[in-house]
Amino acid sequence: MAGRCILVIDDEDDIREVAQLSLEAVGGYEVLTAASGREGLDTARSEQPDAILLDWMMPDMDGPDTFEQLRSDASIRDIPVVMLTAKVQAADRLRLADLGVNAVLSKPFEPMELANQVGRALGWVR
Amino acid sequence: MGRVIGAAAALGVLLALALLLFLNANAGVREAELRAERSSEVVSLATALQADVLQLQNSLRGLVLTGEEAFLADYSDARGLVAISVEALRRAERLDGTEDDEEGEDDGDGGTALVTAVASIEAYRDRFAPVAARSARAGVSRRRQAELTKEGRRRVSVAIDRLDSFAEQQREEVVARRETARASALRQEVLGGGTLAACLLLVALAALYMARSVIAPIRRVAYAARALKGGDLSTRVPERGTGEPRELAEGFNAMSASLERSDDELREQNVELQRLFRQQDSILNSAGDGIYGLDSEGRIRFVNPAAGDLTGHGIDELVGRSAHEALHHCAGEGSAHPIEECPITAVLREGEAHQGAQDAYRRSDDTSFPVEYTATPIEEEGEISGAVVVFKDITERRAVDQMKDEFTSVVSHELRTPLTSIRGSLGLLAGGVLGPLPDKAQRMLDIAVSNTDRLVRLINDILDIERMESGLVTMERQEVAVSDVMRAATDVVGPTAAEAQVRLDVEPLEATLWADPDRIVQTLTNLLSNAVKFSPPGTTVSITARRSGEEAVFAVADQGRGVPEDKLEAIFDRFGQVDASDSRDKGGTGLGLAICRSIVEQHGGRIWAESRPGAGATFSFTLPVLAEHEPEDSSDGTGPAVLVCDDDPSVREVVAGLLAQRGYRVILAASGAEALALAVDERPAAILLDLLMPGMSGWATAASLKERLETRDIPIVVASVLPAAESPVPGAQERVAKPFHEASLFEALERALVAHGEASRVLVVEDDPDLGHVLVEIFERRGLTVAHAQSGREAIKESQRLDPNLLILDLGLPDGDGFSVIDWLREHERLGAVPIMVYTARDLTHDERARLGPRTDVFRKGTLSPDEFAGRVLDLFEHMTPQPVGA
Repeated sequence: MAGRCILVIDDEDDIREVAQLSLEAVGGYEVLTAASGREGLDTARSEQPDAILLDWMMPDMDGPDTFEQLRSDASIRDIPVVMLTAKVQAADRLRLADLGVNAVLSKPFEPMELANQVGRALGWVR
Repeated sequence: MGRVIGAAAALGVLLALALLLFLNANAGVREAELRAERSSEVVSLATALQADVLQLQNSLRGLVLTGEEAFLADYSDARGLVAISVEALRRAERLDGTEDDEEGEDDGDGGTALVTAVASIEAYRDRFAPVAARSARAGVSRRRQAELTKEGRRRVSVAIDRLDSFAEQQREEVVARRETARASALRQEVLGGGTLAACLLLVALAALYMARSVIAPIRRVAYAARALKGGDLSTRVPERGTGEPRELAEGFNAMSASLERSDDELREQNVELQRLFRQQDSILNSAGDGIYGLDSEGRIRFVNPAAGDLTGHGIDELVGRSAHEALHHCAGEGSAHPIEECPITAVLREGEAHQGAQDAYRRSDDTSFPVEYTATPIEEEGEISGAVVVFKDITERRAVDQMKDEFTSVVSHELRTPLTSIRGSLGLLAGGVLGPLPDKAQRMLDIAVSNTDRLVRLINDILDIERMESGLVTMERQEVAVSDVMRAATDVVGPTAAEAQVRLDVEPLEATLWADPDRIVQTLTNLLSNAVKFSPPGTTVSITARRSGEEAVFAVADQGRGVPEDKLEAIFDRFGQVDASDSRDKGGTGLGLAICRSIVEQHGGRIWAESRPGAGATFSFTLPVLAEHEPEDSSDGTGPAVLVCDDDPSVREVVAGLLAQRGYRVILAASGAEALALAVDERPAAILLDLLMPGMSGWATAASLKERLETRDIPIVVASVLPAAESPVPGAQERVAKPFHEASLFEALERALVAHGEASRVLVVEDDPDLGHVLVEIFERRGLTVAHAQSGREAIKESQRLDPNLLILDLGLPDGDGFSVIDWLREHERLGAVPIMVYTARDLTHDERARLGPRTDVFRKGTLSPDEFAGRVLDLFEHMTPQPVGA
């Protein structure tokens, strides 16, 4: 798994930092971060990460919007996306499933497990 | 009364007496007259006797003087006459005398006078006259002659005198008698007159008495009645006297007393009514809610000021107008209700109270506002005479609800965001990512981590129960196996149980629920983890499910410390733990059981706890169970039964396979005789009949089938290698050629079934029992087989049983919407193809229309009458190409 690069897109600095540390220290991934959807799309295009960890609730351009843009851009369309969300309602979950994201993880996440969960969700680890 | 009878009797006696007296007086006078008459007769007889005596004297004197024979003859005649006259006089006198004797008075004078007179006459006739005659015949001297003559004259004169005095006496007597009779008559007449006078007096007295004792009381009552009529209800009459007048007076008094009482009561009731009116007025005037009354036509009868204020209309302006038009009751989005769909107008029609919170009223300035209202019908003598509608403006509440909803959403995000950072940082630290820590620091971080987790759970649970209890979360019902949810729950709790060294004992049940599986797993997980939490190591937690009627009863039992009896109810309340410290010790939120209860109740079940302190607790809940699922075994289809009669086993096998695949239930018969017996026993929907069979041929079998009452209506489809034209089978509906062409076999069979009504099975899914019955009735009348389901659950049960080929579905069902029924059907192999007629009270969105799928027609409720709707359904049947059951 080493060497894989994950882009974390979240508007919360603290969460970005925790997630980055979790993925780097526990999972051994290379981590890139972006503080907004727009920034995230740019980074994705330029850096071509192996996966994107995308926050749902963001000002301006939220997770689903970012996801749609991502999927409509041929250069980055195939990058798997794991959505991170604080929403727990079934209806919200259904909407996410309809969007076609690869996996959904809820906030707050267990930092010691995050890397594993992402890996499992994307089929990188068993 | 007694007196009147007495008086009448006395009067009668007196009148009789008077009559008697008059009669008597009359009789006395008549008697006297009779006597007088007889006395006159006696007198005239006496006079005649005198004449006879004088005649005798003359003849005797002639004889004496002449001595001639000529005088002798006269003398003899005169003597005879005297004797006759004497006798006559005696008789008359005796007659008269006898009566005198009888009267016993006034005896004698007349009698004695007559006796002496007669004696002197008889002496003259019998002694003197014969002597004188004899001597005259012998010839006597002149002197002797003179002497005899003189003597004769003297004697006659004496006799005449005596007779005269007798006659005189008689005359006097007559006069006296008349006098006496007259006097007596007069006396009696006077007496009679007196008696009559007394009678008159008595009558007069009686009249007076009547006037006093009868007329007066009646007149008093009449006066009193007039007074009563004039309004003086205290009028009474004196209850004097006896008998009827008294009774009359008493009756009158009782009547007026009762009138007075009723009047008093009326007065009191009037006062009470006025009080109630004032009270009602003040209630109406002071109520904050809008209140208005409707008459049976839906016109406004009264309006309270609040209703005027809320709608901006003047009260006077509203009264008398149609409420529907004036307030323009409209559906929530602001689209107007047609009056026939207006639920308030429906209350007047159907007489059932209605509550609504989705509608809006229009103000006088055409703006509208959301209302919550209750419309209650007013029934008078079994008729709906109107309704009262109470409404309030819920604009603010709507706003509050919306705020609450937004708040929930914000809490969900805003609380979780910092928690995510905290939990993440702590987790990394505690996980040793940044290097090993001293034991105490590690311990502190562990505490921080577990409490952050608890805080997250708490937030989740609060949001969960809030949304659930406000109805924002609907249960996503589907068919779910009891064993599946039990397994899912034990999978979740298993690791925790193992960690706590608690054994999980599972006893599942083969049954299907109509429920939201995630929520049921959530409930079971909750109960199981509670049980594990309170179980000492080495004990067992059992989870069982059993069937009880239409329900599945789940039970989670532990061997822990139990629940005190007084807490058995309270633990299902929010934060209702037995001991508040439990939640801290055990890591619970205090909301788990409240969430469980909410979930179970939304599924139409019950949840409860039983416990003996120290001996563990058992938490049970019930859920409705779906009907036993018919196994989808091809040989035991649930469709119409078809009896296949063929002597060739391979044909039977092939046909049975084909039919079973299409969902038919197949009955096999190897001979005509067997087919007959099975047809009677099983009553198949159709019979597929071979013709060329050993023994009983197909023709004979068909004829026998058509002969028997039990089987003659079963349609027969002939399957034969013989050309139809050459071998007609009387009584057979359809014909297919062997070897079979699948499609034509099915078509022939379907045609026979449709013609026989077998294929026309309609399931009406409608929660309104009345409308449901109307539809069922209409379809049954047209010869369709109909079943009625009132809920989604029943719909699924019934569609499995009936295997309908048309479903009529109301989208608004009580236990989830009609969509979930459609979803269930669409997933069902056989029922998935059944066309559906949806009718709904509202417009469907584009998405909803799409969700219904292609084989669904939609009708708006209210646009078609039930009859018209049924007509459409029948049209559909007519144009429906026979649908293979399993297509």
